[in-house]
Amino acid sequence: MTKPVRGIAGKPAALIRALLVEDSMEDAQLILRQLEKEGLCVRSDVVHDRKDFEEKVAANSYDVVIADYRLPDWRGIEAVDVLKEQGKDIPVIIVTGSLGDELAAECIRRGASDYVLKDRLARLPSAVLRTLAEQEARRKQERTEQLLRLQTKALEATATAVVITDREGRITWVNPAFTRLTGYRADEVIGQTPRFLKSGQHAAAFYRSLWGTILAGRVWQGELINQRKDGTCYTEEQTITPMVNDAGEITHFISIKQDATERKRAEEDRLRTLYLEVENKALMRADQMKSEFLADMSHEFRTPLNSILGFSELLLETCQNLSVEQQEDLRLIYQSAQNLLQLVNDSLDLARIEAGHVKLDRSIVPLKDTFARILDVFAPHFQQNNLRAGAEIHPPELAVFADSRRVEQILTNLVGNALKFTGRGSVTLAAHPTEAGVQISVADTGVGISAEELPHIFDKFYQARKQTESATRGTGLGLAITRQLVELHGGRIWAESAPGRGTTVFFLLPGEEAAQRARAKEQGRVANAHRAGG
Amino acid sequence: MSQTRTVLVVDDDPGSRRLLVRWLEEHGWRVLEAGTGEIALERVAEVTVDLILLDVRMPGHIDGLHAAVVMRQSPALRDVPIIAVSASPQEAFRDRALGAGCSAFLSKPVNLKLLMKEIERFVPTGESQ
Repeated sequence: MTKPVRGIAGKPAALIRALLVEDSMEDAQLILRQLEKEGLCVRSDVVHDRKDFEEKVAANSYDVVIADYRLPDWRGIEAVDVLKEQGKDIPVIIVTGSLGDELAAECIRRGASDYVLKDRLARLPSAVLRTLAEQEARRKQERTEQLLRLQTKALEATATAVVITDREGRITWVNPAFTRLTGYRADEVIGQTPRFLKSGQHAAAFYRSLWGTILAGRVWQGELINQRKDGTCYTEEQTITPMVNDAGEITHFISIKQDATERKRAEEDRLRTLYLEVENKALMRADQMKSEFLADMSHEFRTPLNSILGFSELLLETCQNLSVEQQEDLRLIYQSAQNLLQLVNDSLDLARIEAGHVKLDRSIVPLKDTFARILDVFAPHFQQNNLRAGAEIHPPELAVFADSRRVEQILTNLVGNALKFTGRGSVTLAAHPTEAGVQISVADTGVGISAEELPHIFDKFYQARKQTESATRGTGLGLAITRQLVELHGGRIWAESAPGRGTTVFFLLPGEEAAQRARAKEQGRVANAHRAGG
Repeated sequence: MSQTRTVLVVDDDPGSRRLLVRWLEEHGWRVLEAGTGEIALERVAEVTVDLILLDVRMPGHIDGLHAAVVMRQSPALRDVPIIAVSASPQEAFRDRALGAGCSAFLSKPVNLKLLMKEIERFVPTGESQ
């Protein structure tokens, strides 16, 4: 006796929640019975005036409103207006005793979904089902359209360029990112093939392979160098996906383009950094090998020199029966070996300075003490040769900010050099402050240097004053080392001379005030390090 | 002169070794020689010495630094003066030699008079240079 329960669009029946607008309980019963007879599963409320209707609609959710057109206090068709006011999308079916064509038309115009005459109530169930099915379809359509709108928005908002073409490759749609990437506006490119982007940097075979892949229905992925509207080139990562219809035919291609210029640059930067690191390591290794080589060289030179010097000394000290000439010969061996040792020491020193391996240990060095120490060392020489030694410091407490050991090395070289070429007269050390730092000079009253030779005296192995006869011939490196040491301090060295009128070598070293600057800088650095750390 | 003192000269360079041997013999020392760290360790195990002159940089398994460390671990050798001699005069070598237990450091070429002064400092002979 029970019919199978029916639901919307033939699906198993869901509960239909109906709101009946009816003043007659009999009519309401009739309507419900009619629906149940057709197997609809209905839960219903019944109201008969506007106030009740408004309250019920606000408080519950209904699938359908079935309203009597004629009520004592209200007209059922106005339910449509109330629903509209409340923003409820509930279909309204008008049930009425009699309805002229005009009224029927009015009902539909005002938004009723359907109308059923009371004497043909059997039509109601199918009207309800159709109405609900229509509404379901409309809602589905709305959801689809909304999703489409969202997807379009997303495609327009994304930073990735998207291009849709038809099967022939003619552009049908591009997003704003495409314009940002290429410089072409949508209206400039729609209907064209993307050939206008070609940079000419890919061979025809490249494009043939691309088309071969996508026309076969496969996804193509790769890197392309293309050209913007302004003529500049850029690298893009492109993915082209063929769209296939139900019949398996390609209808469109979707191309997604990512600007790879930045990534490419980052990659190149990384490679360059890596290369520099490797190169740097190689240089450091070479530098280390050079240092090791120099240390080994020094060791290998010193070992035989140890024997030459030692045995000359041994023979001179222990042999009782050497002739005066033999003693002289031995002294010459000894002195030559000493010179060779000095050369080894100087070469190593110079190499270490040039390689940047010499670090200065700066402090405030009072020149008065330093001058006194230097003159003390050379005192025997001054005495033997009857030379005067001078020291002039103004003001007397003048000091430099330098490595004291290196300052002494500089002065030892310069004074030693001056003494070699000064037969009589004096060697004078002097110092006074200048704008560029403390100027120190070593002045002799010796043979002097010619104008042609003067610019070269600080060059390596340049022996300005020919002295081949002298057993105390220098290594030719002393003045080169001296210049390097002065420059290492940030100073400058030069000489003034004329043949027969003596030579004065001047050099500049940072004064005491440089110590404060260095301290301030150090404090700044420490403070920065703290800030960076904190 | 009092009883004969014994010195061990350790150096892989024959010239340097002979120089020290001749100089020290000239000054009345009994001199033992070793050309490697291994031989040096054998010698000091056999003979009691008053002084060791040790080249710190030698080829072989046991260089001078290593030998010095081993010697200082032996109670008999803990207090024997070891004068390190090296043709590598860099500060680093001096520090390493002193760190390994050597008593003093001289660089090659050795100034023989300076060497005698150093020896006198550790093993007074009463003979003045």
